[in-house]
Amino acid sequence: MSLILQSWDKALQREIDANPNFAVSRRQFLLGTTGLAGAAFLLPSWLEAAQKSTLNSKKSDKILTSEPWLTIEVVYNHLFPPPTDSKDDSPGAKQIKATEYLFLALQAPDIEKSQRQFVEKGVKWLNQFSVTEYKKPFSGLSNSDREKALRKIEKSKAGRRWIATLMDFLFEALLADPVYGGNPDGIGWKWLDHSPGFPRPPKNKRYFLLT
Amino acid sequence: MNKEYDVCVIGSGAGGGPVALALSEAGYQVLVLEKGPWFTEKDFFKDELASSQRDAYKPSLKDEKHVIEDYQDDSDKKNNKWVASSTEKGGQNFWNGNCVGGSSNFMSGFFWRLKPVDFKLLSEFGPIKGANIADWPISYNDLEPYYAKAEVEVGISGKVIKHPNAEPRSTKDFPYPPTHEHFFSATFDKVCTKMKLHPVPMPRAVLSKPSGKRRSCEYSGYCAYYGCSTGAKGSSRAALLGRATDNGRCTILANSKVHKLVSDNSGKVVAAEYFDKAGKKQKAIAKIFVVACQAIETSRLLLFSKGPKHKQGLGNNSGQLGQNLLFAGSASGTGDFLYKNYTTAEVNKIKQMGPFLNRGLQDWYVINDKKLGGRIKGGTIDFVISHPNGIERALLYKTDNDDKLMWGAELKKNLVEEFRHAQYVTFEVFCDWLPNDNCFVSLDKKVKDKWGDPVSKVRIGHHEHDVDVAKYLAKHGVQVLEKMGAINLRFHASGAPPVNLVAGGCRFGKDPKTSVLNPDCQVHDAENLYVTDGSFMPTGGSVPYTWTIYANSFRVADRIIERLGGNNPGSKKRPV
Repeated sequence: MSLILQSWDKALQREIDANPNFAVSRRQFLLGTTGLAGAAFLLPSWLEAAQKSTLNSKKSDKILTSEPWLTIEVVYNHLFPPPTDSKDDSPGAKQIKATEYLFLALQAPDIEKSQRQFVEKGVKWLNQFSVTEYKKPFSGLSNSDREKALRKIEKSKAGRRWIATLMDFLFEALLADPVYGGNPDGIGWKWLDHSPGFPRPPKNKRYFLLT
Repeated sequence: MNKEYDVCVIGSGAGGGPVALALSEAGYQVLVLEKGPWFTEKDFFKDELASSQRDAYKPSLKDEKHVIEDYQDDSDKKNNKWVASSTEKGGQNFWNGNCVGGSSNFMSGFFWRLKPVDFKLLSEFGPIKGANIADWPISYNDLEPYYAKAEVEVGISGKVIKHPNAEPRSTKDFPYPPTHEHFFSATFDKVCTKMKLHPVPMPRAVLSKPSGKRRSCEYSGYCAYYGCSTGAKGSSRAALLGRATDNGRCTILANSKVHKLVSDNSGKVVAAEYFDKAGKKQKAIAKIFVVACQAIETSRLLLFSKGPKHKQGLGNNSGQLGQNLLFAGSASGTGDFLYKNYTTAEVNKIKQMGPFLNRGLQDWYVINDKKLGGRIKGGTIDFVISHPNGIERALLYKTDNDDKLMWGAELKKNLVEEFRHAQYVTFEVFCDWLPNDNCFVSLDKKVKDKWGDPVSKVRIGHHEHDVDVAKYLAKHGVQVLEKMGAINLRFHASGAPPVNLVAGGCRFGKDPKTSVLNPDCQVHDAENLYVTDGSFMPTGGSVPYTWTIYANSFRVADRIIERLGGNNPGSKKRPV
């Protein structure tokens, strides 16, 4: 394993040692059930704005046109590519709004800060690796080099975990209720002929607002 | 000064609800203290993030966790040992839903009664080495009227049929007809009859017709893990507590976490100390206290509630408190039914969400097989359409067979096959979890909850006999799926505890030296304290516990009413 990959694993281990929650950072520490009523309003105002904008207007484009989101968008397009031909009815990462979804999901009040930082740090690692191996950042690589690079970093614990984390959120962008910002108009449900059931969650009853 | 209630019930799930309803209907003033919030039908959606991926109806593991002691098998067998770790650091979440109505909000509602043999496992089948099997101090006949009562009060739908292992019953049939059935129900019946088995329509705590304020099932699909938005599911909240508060004599305080029961020099409980929503310590006073926090937390609360006559914890003068915790022996298996083998009209029916397969087999409730050592206790197999959770199913394809992460075209192809080409049927095996010395609750010495109290430490050792029985049943389950036309058959049986099926820890019995509760579920040495969740069970039987918990809680409620002087003449009037 390359030295870079080894250094990631060491860094990851330090994170885990320093923060026992890190290992389960996707787990809930839900607001509301334990008496923190109204905590949803503790969301930073820029975030409230961002949440609204991502759902309603073009403002989120501004946030998502900077790193780490640019690289994440490129990675997601590789992990879940657009349809290959006219017979392929599958949506790609763009169609399911994978990047926007990840951005929003990571801001949810039950998501550990360490999780957000890990996602961001992974982007730095990936680009560092890409420059060392291919002399270009990840977004400048050919399709086949992107595949090679991701398969290589998958061999390290940290790299595997980073891709796996992105995939966890991608599956949610594909199949969670559109109220969370992915799966627009149920595009993922339609593709997979999946029935979401009813009633569906309204915006004011998203999981982190239940109390 | 605090108001004195007749009865204070701690925990509002299947163990607490019957007491709250029966006592308030009999005219007594009841206070229910519930740790979690008070959700209603308006808070339950088909939202997989809320119900499954983010556990929105469970406490935060940061605030409240368990410490689980699991056996670590060392490769050279020299260093085998019990290793404790906090659930905050990963692994299984041992909470099953904390809110008014408890985990009964999130159950599937597969309702089976215990059978007469389950009350006398020791005398029927003899001892098993390494297991602490005991007969119950009551018989099936003692509980039968309360199973019947629960059918009406909770609202159980189903159809009684004759079969070799059917338990006797005092009423002719269920008060509600069966819920709508899936296309595969008829296939199942045909196949099983041909195999000389006895397909049993599975009773469900799901209304097939409206009742009071509750609507009938609306067949949205998704049932297990999800709170019911119509009120059809027979949760303690929807079926019992709504009526209890309506009669004006039952007060429910949500977000009220009881941390200690205070007892006096005579051993009697005098107060329940709890933290309110703001974290402020409060006191509840009552003549009678009833604990029903689900098995693990009930043992924890009693262990923590030391008093002058209860130096080792309330009801622990025998050293039995927290011992003989039960989960359930279990296995599950699945088969794929490929759409390409059916006509278009059939596929449309097979795909249909909502109607239930609702079938079970109890042909092996008692097994007589030389290979397993003769006549032994077996179990139940339930057959259901596999849960439709989308994200959960997609996550199955996170890695390929070589454990490489899957993405790109390969992932898409797999998702299409999973979702668009087949329906799936799952079976679940329920058999006894033998009580044993390595399955118990104690208080952790280091880890605390957010209120500063020690959390439960749970050792989860199982008896290998349970796995053998589960495997035996699972093999039969696989055969049925195969005959139904399924391919890609697989099953899994292990000694890992199903955390949503939990009982024991406060065994009831006649001898105070070997039990925590007397046959009326009153705590030994604490004459005004009762336990009415699944903790009382010395052995668990081979079905999910909820119906039995409801029934027993109604039984204990009758004992408490008798003790308080019977039906209160003022019961018909609302108090001023």
